[in-house]
Amino acid sequence: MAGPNGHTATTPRWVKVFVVVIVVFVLAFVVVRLTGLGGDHGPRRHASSGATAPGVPYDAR
Amino acid sequence: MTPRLRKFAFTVHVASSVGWLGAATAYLALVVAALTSENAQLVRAAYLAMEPIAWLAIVPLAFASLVTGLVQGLWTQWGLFRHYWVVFKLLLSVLATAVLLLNTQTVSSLAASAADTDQLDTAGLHGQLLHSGGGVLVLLVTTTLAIYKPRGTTPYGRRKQRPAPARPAGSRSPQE
Repeated sequence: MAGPNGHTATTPRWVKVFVVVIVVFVLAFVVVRLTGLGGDHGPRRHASSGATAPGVPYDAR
Repeated sequence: MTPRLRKFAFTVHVASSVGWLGAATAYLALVVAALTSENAQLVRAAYLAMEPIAWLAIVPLAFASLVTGLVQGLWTQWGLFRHYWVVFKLLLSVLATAVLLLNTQTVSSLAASAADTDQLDTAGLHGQLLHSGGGVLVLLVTTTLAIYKPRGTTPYGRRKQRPAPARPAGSRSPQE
């Protein structure tokens, strides 16, 4: 119910939807990291193997 | 904060936030061009252009948006934790800035690979598509929140809005 200044005392529905969406994204991120589905990821990918290791020849493109 | 200073801070906040979204969109366009083009020169040019866009446009605009947003929250009636839309906008901005800072190291590596060698690291482009696409999406959400300002005050905000009790002992408030 809206209060005298137009604000509700309960949590609005859009906030609940937002929280659910954020939780889903965080869970998906954790699952991807734990299962390795996302492959080698992040800036360290370049530090260990060198910048050109996963590349393709320039002329082949 | 004086009204003139408040308006100036608000202008800087809007300009930096919208600029951040625009620069991130330009970066996304370069990633898409590099992923889809068959022209090697265009791909190399896109790699080289991504680094200055990231370091000279996106990162400064992100920090400007974050700092001016904090100023807006702390020195206006909106507060930082009184309204749900402000809380979400702050969280998303901090998250986007953190991911951005982690990703800029990869951007520099990609640019170095394009500048120093005759091979291009195309594997990193899919990660760039994910990061920049996700970033643009998050910034569109924060922009929408800032414009629509959906209703909803946090429990903290409700406590701050409640007037201090100043009634005689033994009397009942209208809500009781």
